[in-house]
Amino acid sequence: MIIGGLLPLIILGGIIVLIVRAVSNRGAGGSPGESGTVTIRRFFQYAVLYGVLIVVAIGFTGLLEQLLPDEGSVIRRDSSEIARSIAFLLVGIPVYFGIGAWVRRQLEDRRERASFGFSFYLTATLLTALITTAWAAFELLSWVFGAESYDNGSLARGIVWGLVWLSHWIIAANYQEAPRGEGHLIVGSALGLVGLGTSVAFTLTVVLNEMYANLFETSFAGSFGENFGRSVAGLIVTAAIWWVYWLRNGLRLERTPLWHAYVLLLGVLGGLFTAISAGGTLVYTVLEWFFGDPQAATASGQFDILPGLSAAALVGLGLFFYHRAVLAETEAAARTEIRRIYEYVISAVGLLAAAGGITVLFVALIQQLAPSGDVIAGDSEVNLLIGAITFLAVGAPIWWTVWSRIQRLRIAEPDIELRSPSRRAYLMLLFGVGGVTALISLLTAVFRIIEDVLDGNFGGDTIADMAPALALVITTGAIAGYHWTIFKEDREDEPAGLRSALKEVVLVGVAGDELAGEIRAYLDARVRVWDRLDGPVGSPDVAAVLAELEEQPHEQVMLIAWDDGYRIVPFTART
Amino acid sequence: MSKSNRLLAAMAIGLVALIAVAAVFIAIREPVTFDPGTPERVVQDYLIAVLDEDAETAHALLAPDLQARCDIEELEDRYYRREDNRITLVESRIDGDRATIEVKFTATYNDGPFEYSDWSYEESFKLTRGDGAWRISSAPWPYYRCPEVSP
Repeated sequence: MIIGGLLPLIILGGIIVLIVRAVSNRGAGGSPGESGTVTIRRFFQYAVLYGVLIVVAIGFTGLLEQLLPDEGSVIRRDSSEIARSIAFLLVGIPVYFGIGAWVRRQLEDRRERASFGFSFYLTATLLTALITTAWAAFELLSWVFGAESYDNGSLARGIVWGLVWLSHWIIAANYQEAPRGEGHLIVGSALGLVGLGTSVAFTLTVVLNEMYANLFETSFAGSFGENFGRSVAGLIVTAAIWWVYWLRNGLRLERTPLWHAYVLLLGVLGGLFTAISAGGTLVYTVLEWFFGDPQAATASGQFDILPGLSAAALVGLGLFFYHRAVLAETEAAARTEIRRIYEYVISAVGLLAAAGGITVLFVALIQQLAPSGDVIAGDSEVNLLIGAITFLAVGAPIWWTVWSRIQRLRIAEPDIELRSPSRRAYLMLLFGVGGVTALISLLTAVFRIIEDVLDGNFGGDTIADMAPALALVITTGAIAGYHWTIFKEDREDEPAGLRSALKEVVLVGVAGDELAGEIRAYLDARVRVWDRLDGPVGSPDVAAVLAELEEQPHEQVMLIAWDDGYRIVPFTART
Repeated sequence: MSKSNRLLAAMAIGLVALIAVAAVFIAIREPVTFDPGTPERVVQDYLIAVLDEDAETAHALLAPDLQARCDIEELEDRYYRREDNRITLVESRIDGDRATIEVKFTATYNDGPFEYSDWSYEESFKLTRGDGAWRISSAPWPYYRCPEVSP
């Protein structure tokens, strides 16, 4: 369920990574790949190593569980469990150390250390060990705080997988090449952050629920200590994970696309999304009580979800403000592409919340206008309207605040803002997704009309039934249309350089990186930098080169530094 | 110290302070005890007995015909202690020798360090007064499967 809920975030994360990567590597040449045989060898080698490690760890855990004292007296030991553990160890240990010794020899080669296979093995092993150890530590700490009974299996798992984690952490520190090493640190940080956020929310919910019950309800019976013990256990475990992975290591990582995806997606967007959802539901609960049809008979029953919602909103706001501060510290004084991604992401969240509210309002309006519509007569419709107004009231100010700032900057500095790939992606995505949704909704609405006409049932009920589809056509169509207009305006005001036919420039014998950077930024072309082995290195005038390249009718040109300046030679690949 | 670290430290201090205030508040509040002889007190005693796994006390609070139908061993098998960590009174209705007590169970539960859930539901206890004492007269939580009397 958690994974399902995170799917949209993962997709968005992929888009962010692609954009940042496009910005970072635009124009950089590709690195030569390795042969398919090496890739297949690595896949099997590391997959087998990972599988055998799990077998060995299960063997050790099983054996240790038999040796460690149990809560009660052992009446009879399970011989099949012991036999399985010993068999796993007898077969697993020689195989693991055999393959391990072979891998260790290969790791002397830098390419092996930087390979995806090695990185994948370390990431998978470290995360498996981390999750298993964290679970065991949680159970043991819950026992220490009196919320769980003692389980020697947890102690055995904690010891064995803790050692697996520690040994592989040391291997990663000694052998792994940057930036491959960031993978397990970022995933571990994400796990720690989600766990810490959940634990803080749970702890707050437990104590606030108890306070609420004491203040506004008549408490009959119940226990508080067990849950509190478990919540503190979760808090300690997840805080330790986040401290080791993020505060001690993740914060010091190079600012790669993956690093930014973590901060932007999980920290900023995840925090904002949680805060908006919880805050919106909180406002809805209050409005429902005063203006709608509350489900609960008493005020204390209506508002008993306030502790949980307040806890979620506080955690969401904490995540949002902390990661916003982290992002601000990494930014240069000038407005960066990361800053733009951050603003477009927040703008999209606000817009989606507001659009959801407007859609529901349109549904109610269409149903009201339909000849046989009796909507807003029932109390549930009033609740629906309250929900719509809530999301509109929460989403619209967020969207308008951020979007109007973006548009002010676009007018003030069109040469810089219109080059932004984030801006183009944002506009195209909203136009594309909005347009497709409007089209599908239109198809659904037309289908309902034709079906009812053919059946002779066309009337007010038809309009009322297709109200959601019609509302979606209006809302998503308006979103698509608005962003298409903005996109067209952007194209008309586009700086001259962006309209150049040029796709690729190869610089030969040009000193420094300045010209390459200017061509990438100004002409949006791919740039490769080659050295001359036979002759001079030149530093052509940047403005003159840009002006000349801008007028080039060809897609690919080579700029060669010459004794008297430079030559521009158009070229194309032979087909 | 960077701004983000200062913010993090402030949030951690705020969290600890909030938990401490709440813990002190909870600790100094005395639990509500209903007057002896009231239907609410009977339900309260019954619920505390169930949570304490004291099947005999719980069974003794049932009306005589319910006691005859409901097996004490079955009650022992139906302890439901861990998930229901707070039980509150929603409403009590008394009509002569009959009473209905509505209670709400709220469960907040974390099954591991990465997930938790929070839910609540309501139950109704029906009581009758016989020989001057209130007793639970319909199969109550968590004791639903007492066989019906054959007509």
